[in-house]
Amino acid sequence: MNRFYLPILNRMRIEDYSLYKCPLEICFSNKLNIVYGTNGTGKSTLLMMCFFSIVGPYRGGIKTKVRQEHRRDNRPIYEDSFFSERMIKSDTNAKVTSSFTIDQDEYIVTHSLYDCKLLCAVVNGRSLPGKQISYRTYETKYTQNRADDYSSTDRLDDYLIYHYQEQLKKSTKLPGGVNTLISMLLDVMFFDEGRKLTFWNNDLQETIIGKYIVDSDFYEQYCEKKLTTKALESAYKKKSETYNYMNKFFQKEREEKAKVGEDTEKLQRELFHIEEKAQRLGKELEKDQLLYSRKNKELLTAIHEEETVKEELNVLEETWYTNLFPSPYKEYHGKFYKQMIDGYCPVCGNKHDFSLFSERCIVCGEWLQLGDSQDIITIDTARQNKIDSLSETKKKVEILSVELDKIGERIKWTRKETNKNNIRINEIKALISPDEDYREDSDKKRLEKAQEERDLALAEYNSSKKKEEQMKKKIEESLVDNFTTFRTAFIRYASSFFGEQHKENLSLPFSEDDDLNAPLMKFELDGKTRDEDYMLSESQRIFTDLSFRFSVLTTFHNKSFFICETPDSTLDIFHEELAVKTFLEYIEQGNALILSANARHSSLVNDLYKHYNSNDVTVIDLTKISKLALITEYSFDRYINRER
Amino acid sequence: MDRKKSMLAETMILFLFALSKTSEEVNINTYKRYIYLYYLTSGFINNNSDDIEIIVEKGDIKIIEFESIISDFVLKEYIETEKNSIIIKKKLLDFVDALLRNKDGALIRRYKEIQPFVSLIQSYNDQFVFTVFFSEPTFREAPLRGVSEIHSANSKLAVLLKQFKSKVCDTRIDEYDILAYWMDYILRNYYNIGADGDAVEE
Repeated sequence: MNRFYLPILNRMRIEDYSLYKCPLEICFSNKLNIVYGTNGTGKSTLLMMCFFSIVGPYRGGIKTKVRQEHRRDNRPIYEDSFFSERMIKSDTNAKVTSSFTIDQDEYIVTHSLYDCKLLCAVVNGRSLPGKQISYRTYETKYTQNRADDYSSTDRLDDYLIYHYQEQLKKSTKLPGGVNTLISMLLDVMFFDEGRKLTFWNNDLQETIIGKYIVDSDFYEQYCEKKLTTKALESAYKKKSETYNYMNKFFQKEREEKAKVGEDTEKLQRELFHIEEKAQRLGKELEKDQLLYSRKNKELLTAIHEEETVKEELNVLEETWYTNLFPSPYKEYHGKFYKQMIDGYCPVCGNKHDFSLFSERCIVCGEWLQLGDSQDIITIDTARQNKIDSLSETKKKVEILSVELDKIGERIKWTRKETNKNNIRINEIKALISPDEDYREDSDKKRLEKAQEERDLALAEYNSSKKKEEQMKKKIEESLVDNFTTFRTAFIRYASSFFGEQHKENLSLPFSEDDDLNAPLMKFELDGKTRDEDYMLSESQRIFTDLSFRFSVLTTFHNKSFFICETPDSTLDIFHEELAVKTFLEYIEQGNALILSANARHSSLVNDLYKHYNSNDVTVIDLTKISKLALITEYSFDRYINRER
Repeated sequence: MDRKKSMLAETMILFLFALSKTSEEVNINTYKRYIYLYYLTSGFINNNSDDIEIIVEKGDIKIIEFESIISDFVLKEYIETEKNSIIIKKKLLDFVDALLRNKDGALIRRYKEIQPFVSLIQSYNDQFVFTVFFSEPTFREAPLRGVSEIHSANSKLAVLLKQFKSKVCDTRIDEYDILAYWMDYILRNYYNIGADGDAVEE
């Protein structure tokens, strides 16, 4: 199993940020942390600041598209003004400094809250080099760099963000570097108010688990393959759109024509050669099309024949099995009839009158449907003859299919070549003669070209999807060895969340087909499979998702932290109690929990708070710290005392 | 009897007939494991896709309809059961023998698929078959995956054996040789190293 490390947040210092009374210094407990406040006082902002101060303004979920035939990976980020818009009075000096540890490395990192820039990063007492630059500008350069195969002249290593992210990769040892860290922080360690579920996101299940169990090169290749597949999907959609909007295409053609100024004589020579080639290809195409049509007819006949033989075999098999293992009525009748006709019950032995009719069952009285027995030796021979003939027709179908595929491929290639030639012929003709008739004539051909490009893009997408599926299978295979430990942790958390009256199971089904969208893991509650989140109530789906996240964190890591936004907002009192029990279990494994709480009646926060002594709990009371807190009578102290 | 059950019953009766060549008595659990291993390797050795449902519970298996078919055979007086043993009766032997006399039938082809498997598996004693059964990858993986119901068509063993064969690159090598090689490999490892990692005498 691969070892890598996640950040452990120790301190956070916020300066000149007018939403809070600054400087605001938070020393995080390694057990329980509560961010408390009334609505609109900045609880979510503070939680998001925790992640921002570590990894910057990334939102997670890399988006991949194709632009100008190149793959472009876009790592979405917040607007530069995300935190400054939440200030009461704008201040360019606003900043957040967090101290955190990753494995043995001590980090002190400062980000601007005014424009989200990374201002300074000190690792083990050493300041990282590089120019300051906004994340947005850096991302543009990063995307360009990747699209140019890392050969861009604008070097990323000039910038501080680059060195910081490289250092994060080194400390965490994560395959996929900061991209994987972003996914871990936002998809596993943060459960926000939007309740974005991770467990049922099939894309995430194997990427989250995969990095722990397959070697890092393979994992990176797999992540790359996923992005490539997405890009190819996007390329295919684009080609498809192109096909649908040919008017634009034609317009583009006209514009291109204006740009081209080729020599007429040279073009005429080229035209002669292409037309000659096109004629030859046309003849080949005609021949192949005729052959294809003939073979296709033969194939259809063979398929029909195969279906007929299958049906006939089916009838014979039915007769065979009915006669091989006939109803045991005869045996029962032989055993019981004599006693019954004598007036004795064959089971209890008491005297009893039975009305027995030869055409009805001696026990239940139903009409008997015992068909005449047939000569099964003849049936068996007929059955074998049909099996042989089925095997022959199957072979015939297979051979014809292979032949048809070959001819089909040849036709496709010839068509492609012919179309290429025709397009060029039309282009040359249009260039030589300004007569618009040529263009009209070529429109249809160009439409065909667009269609072909679309088909080619679809084929490339399908092939990449298939490769991705094979890689996903390898991850599944590797997961089997670690699954028992992971499953045990999952079921422990799920049982704790759901309570004793429910029965939970997590399994790794043997995959039956090559469905890329099939989930890796299957969750069952009370014996019923819950393939989709809507198959559970809101609290149940939250519990399942939290169980998944907790088991990822505690199975594969010794220590971590987890941030949960207002966990009590959707739970009733009974489920709050179960959640408390589970959160405590998570903390007792050596992890820190950071949660936000509203000033509302909730036993969850109260029970968790009461469980620990004051040294183990950090309370960030926004009714005292936030400048937007108008009602101080709802302070945390009063809230806790009232609950008591 | 529905089709699936009938097909399993056909396999089971042919197995009993093949087993009777060496002994009229067979342990019911060993017999059940033979059937299990046959179906799990069938996709490799016979390339057929017959499927049976198997429930994995408490470190053993339950083949759906197996018990019911045994009861039917008892009722038809093909067999007798005594504690954990099945005694194969003359009625079964006569019945199957009469059917197998038809050299042009489908049943004898099926028997020719089963008989070599029975010969191979019978060449190992019950204890070894028990070991092989517990080392079969589908059975071993099911609890690791948290799966309690498996289909023989999803056999991991068949996939692994096919992969092995494709790597051998020798078309002359027989499927049964590969299967026997796998069984020997399991037994060699198991009896040299032992389940708990200690050396064990063969």
